[in-house]
Amino acid sequence: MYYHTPKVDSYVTSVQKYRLVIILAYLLITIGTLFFYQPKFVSSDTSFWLNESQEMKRTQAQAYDANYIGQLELKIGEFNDATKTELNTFQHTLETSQGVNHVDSLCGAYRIYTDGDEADSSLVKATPLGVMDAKELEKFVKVYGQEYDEFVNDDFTEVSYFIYSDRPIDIGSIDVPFAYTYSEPNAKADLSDYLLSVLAVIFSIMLFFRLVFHNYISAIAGLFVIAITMVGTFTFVYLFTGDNHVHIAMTLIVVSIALIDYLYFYYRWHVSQYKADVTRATLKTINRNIHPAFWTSLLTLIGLGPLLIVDSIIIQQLSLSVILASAFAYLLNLTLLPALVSYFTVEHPKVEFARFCYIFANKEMHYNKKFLWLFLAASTIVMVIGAYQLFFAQEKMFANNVSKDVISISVPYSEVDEKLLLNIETFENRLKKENSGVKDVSSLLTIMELFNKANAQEDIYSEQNYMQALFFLELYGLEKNIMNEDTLFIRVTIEDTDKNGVIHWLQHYDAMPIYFTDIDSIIGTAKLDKLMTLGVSLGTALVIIGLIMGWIFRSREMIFVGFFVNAIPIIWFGLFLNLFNVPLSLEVLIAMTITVGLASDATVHFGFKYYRSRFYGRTEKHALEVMFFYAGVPVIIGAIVLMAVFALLTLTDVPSLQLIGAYGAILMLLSLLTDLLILPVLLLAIDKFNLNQTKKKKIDPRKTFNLDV
Amino acid sequence: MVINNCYYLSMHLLGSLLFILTLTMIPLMAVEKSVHKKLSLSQSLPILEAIKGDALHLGMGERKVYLFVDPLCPHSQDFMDLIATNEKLLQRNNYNIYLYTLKRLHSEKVVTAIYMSEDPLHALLNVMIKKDEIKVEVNPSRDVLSKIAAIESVAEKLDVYKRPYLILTKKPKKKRGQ
Repeated sequence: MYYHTPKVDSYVTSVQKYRLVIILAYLLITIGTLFFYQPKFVSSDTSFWLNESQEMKRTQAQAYDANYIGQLELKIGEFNDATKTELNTFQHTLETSQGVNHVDSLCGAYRIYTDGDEADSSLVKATPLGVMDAKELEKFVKVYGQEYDEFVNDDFTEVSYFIYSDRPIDIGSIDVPFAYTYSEPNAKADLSDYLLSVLAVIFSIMLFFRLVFHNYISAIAGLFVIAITMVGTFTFVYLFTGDNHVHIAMTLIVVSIALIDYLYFYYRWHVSQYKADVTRATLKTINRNIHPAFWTSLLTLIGLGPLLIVDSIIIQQLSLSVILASAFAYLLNLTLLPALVSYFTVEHPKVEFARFCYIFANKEMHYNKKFLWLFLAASTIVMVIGAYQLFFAQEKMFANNVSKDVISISVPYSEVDEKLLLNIETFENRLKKENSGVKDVSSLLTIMELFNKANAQEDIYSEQNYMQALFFLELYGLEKNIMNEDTLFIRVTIEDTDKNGVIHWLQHYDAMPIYFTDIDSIIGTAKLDKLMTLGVSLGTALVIIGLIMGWIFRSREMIFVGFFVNAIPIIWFGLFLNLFNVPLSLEVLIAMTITVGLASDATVHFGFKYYRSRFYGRTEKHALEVMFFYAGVPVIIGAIVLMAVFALLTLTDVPSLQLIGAYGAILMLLSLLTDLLILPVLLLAIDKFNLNQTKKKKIDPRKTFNLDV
Repeated sequence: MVINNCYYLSMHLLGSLLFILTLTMIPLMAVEKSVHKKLSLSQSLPILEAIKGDALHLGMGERKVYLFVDPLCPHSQDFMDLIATNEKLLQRNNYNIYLYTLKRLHSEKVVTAIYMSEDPLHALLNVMIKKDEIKVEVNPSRDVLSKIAAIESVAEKLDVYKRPYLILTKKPKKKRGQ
């Protein structure tokens, strides 16, 4: 319980006695572990989501290949014969690039027509648009614009290429003749990006710790604790999941949790030397933090532990990272940290932030209850709306607005006949009618209709007409991109719409079997499918954390506080994602996981300090001051360092790190604001110590407990 | 004077009559142009049975494609070039080729010469793809003439109004991986 002060004198003496052994043992174990286990850092979340995808399993069961679709936009300026020749050459370059299956573009598209009077001849011709001269081509496209406008803009200054490949295309390795934008950003991180991330962590910790603590040992010891926690965490994640791939952004879970946990210990050791010697300071940091830090580790274990049975590598890795980081950091802060810092004494034990604690405590003593309840009510409403969307309209929860994109699907068939064509027509009509963002559908039917029209035949559903269209399709070898012996390949072009909405519609279309065959859409389906699991997992974890919080502090009200303090940053961050149409990604989940880990830590440490002070008879204001001084300051320092780290990560070239940087910084700010503004006020609001004064007087704390809080 | 007037009047009446006749014929001709029998495959196959032995065969596939061409028609020539050089389709299709002339191209003698040659398919491909001249026979055989007449009769029944003109049978079903 929060009022116990464990006797740790002999433990501290032992640690100090064997400090060198302890330090060397940790170093040897860490280096030894790195010999046996080298994590493979990845910067793309594709493989994680594909592992989760039921649609991918369906697609693979049909032995269909899934493609990456990259959209390349070239700014060609003026369209003339020279430009067109360059575009033709570039088309060939793309088509012959490694991994590329086919390329849809203006020069690769076909003109389907008849020479002379179509009433005289059944011969339909199909020639690539690329063979036409520039003026003729421009004129042709302007007349038949609808069929080609996905490949070129109205004034012929920009052309688009849709590149279908069996692996992500590194567009930087291809000689692109014009200025371009590519839809698939370079997901592959370079060594320089990894180094920059590590340097961001080291630089931020060194700088801020030097400014705050006026020494270097605080930063060095912190980096030691973080590094060893990292190795331990990912080794055990690997042992548990059997997967040695570590998403680069996941390392930030370990950095965040280990750093803040370390700060609770180091800070207490540092400021305790204002009045005490090093040994006494070490004693205090251990006996004041051993319980709350234990509870935070247990809290993450019990709160997030049940998620390990969820059949999802992503959820398993996220929850394991938090649990293990918390456990390793706890172990290291109790053993390695006292051993390391025992070699040093602090010259400047004063921390400038301390005076803010008194300001905060004073202000929050006079909080406005009405505002608190209004804020909680607003948070609850947002949470309920979120829960409703989670259960009944997942596809609307995280929109994936795209300006132009392609969804590629496959449909099995046994015979091209009237029934099949009618099925496709119904599908296309309904798809376009019920999804306003669907610009074009390219299928066997659409191409056959072009042949049919060119042949001056009206009804495509007439047996001879569709068979002739099919014959010409095969004659010109155009069928390979739209069908094989048993499968139709359909491509849906969407513009200025929510891609998730279209994916959801396709997933629930039951008039014919649909299989997604592009990686991006498959990932989209995995995200939609997992949204409920992720949401329920998160909700369950928050409820469990709240319940344990109530048990730790023996207070029903703390269940509510524990739940809300952890949920508030997530709720408002969720609203931010929803309002700004931020798509769900692994980075979002990582940022949320970090927040849950840190918020639960903060609640326990804040609660421990406040309850302990109140138990020993401090006034509410004094208890707040103590709480802010011993728990608030480490949280502020930690949050500022982490916000700096996250902000620096947005400067890397790796999209994943940019995203985690942006989301992490926002969530860290929300988390800090919740810890500083909401949690203390909630603790005040549920404070019943004044009511229990009589009961308390029966216990003589001086006989059993240390009065020094 | 009277004679002159009668002459002008009769000429005027004749002119008016021709004009009215032309006006009435235009829509009739237009209607005739757009309306074709377009027989279904099940209707066409029994008719084609009559000229089963008269076809020139190209390709080794299972699927039959009935094809009416005029050897001098440029569209038919382009089409023949496309199918004769498409190995994949030659493996899938069996083209039954019938020579059916377009009146305006006056290709009757060339057709006769092709049918009378030792290897009519070879001769046809030479004429249509290589654009070779073919020696025109002065006295066509009765067999060849009756073959041409039979094809013409069937083509009329089928309303073959284009060259090339295609009648396709259904593809045999294939199992996955075949």
